[in-house]
Amino acid sequence: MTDAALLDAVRGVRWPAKRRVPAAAHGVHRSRRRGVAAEFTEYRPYAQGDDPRRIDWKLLARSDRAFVRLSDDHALLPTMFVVDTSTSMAFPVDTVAKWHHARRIALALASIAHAAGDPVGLALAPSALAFPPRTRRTVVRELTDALSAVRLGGAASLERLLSAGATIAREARVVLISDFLTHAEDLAATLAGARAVAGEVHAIHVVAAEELAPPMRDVSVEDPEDPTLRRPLVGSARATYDREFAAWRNTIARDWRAAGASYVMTTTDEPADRAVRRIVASP
Amino acid sequence: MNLAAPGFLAAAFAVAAAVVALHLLVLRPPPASRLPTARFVPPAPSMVRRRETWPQDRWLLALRVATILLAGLAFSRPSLGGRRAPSARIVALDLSAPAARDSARRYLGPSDVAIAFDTAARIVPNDSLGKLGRASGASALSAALIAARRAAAQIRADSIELIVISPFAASAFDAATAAIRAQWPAAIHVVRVTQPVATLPHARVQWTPPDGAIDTIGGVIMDGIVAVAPFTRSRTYRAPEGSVVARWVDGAPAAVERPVGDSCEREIAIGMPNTRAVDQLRAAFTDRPCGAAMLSMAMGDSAVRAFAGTGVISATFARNQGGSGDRTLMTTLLILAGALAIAEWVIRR
Repeated sequence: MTDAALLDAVRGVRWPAKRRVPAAAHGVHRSRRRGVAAEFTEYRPYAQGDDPRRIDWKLLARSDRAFVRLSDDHALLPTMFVVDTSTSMAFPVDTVAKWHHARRIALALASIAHAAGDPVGLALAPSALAFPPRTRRTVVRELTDALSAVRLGGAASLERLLSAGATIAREARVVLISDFLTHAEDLAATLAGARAVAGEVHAIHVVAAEELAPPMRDVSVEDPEDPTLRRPLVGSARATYDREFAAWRNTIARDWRAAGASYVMTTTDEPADRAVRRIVASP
Repeated sequence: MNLAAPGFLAAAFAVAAAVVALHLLVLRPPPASRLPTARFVPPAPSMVRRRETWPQDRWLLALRVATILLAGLAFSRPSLGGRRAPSARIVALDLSAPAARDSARRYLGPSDVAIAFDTAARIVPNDSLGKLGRASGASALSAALIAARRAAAQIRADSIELIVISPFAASAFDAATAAIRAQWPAAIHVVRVTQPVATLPHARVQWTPPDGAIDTIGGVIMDGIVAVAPFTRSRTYRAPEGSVVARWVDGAPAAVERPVGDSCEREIAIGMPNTRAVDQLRAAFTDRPCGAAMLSMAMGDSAVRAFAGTGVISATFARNQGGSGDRTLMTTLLILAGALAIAEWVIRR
């Protein structure tokens, strides 16, 4: 599926905020502020200090009691994409399917957010920030260009990137797309940082199909981010690997959810549009 | 090239094959592959045993195989002499039987060995059988077997057939014959010829059957040979004057011979059982000429068959060639093997 076909596939998909967003420019997300919008919600008895213009005079005439009309306001939700560009994302070596999957998910989600009028920003780990959230019409293309120009390499500090993304767009929606194969301290700090983020955090875990089912032939596997880590994947080691990797994924999912984030794992053999629909529907 | 002990070379080939098989099993790290989740693989030695389709370290393998084969060849005691004949014959002919010479000519080939024996044995040229003298009458198979065993060690042939041509008189066997026969590692082709006819005057035989008190006694000794059968004798028998030709096992005379003119009279006081087992003894008493010193009683067929043995008729011998040239070759091969072993050690380091 090409990028254009992917964008066509997700057209019309909505990605509502998980909770009311702070007051901001008018948008599609329910705002914490209740104002005078056309969409009526409820009446409240008039209290001293209320704007007299919000009194429902017809109701006053019928009931001889003063009520104020309340309505939900809708606001925009800046969406900041933080995408891991470390060496481990360049896997498998020949197809780099893991990175392409992450890139396409970011593109599709950015397209959905942009269609709702939300500002979209991009931060790349471990590279520098690409651009802050913006609403211009060309932002999706800019995001596509920025992701296409990425040169994968280095080791990611997810904690730094998450905090940077959250700092740039306060009370925004931060979407962290990564394989989370960083070192344990960084991951723990990232989770702690996720708890401190004022807005929403979406942790999208990208796993290569080849990581779930490594080649059956005897190989000596090497961590691309740590060449000193080389171990033989032979015989009974394969079962141990499957067990340990599954346990780690379960731990990651539990910890992200415990941190108040939305966690979704997707594999490279899953169509990107299906993964995106799961992400936007996740609690 | 001849090998005195080819088993060593065969063993060397087996060991070399095992070495080649070991070279197909190599301990080396498997091919490397990048895997971001490598941290979940349990730590373990990164060397695994793999079976290759083509031997690894071919120079080392060649040196090792060459070392083993050279050592095996050296220990197999090689010699660079001419090629041995595939087979040869040793023909032992009994000089006490003139017919044995005619039979021997039929069996002897140009590369065969002839042994003439009576009480002693010697190797004789194949073309001089007609010049051999007649024996005194006695012969010894033990002497013939010993001479054959010695001759076999000198014959350059892969297998040797032993042919013994003799009347197989009982007197040709002695106490050592069976043990010496066992030294020949194959069956023996036996050719039985007729016994020589005596030229001495024939004896008048008088059988004196036992009468009166009959005694049953099991054995008769005649010319040192003990014949065992249910013989009977008269307890009251008194032997006449004359030469005792047979005695009972207790020493009492059983047959006496006394001269009568140009001939002689032989009185035999033995009650012969009516069995075929004593037919030869009876014939010996009857046919023996006067004054014959030896009993020419022939051996039974079963004894001759036991002497011939069963199984393959061709014997093979591991020879000690022992010449200086062979020792030189062995030493050279061992030095070469040692040099290759050192080279292998150097390359392996």
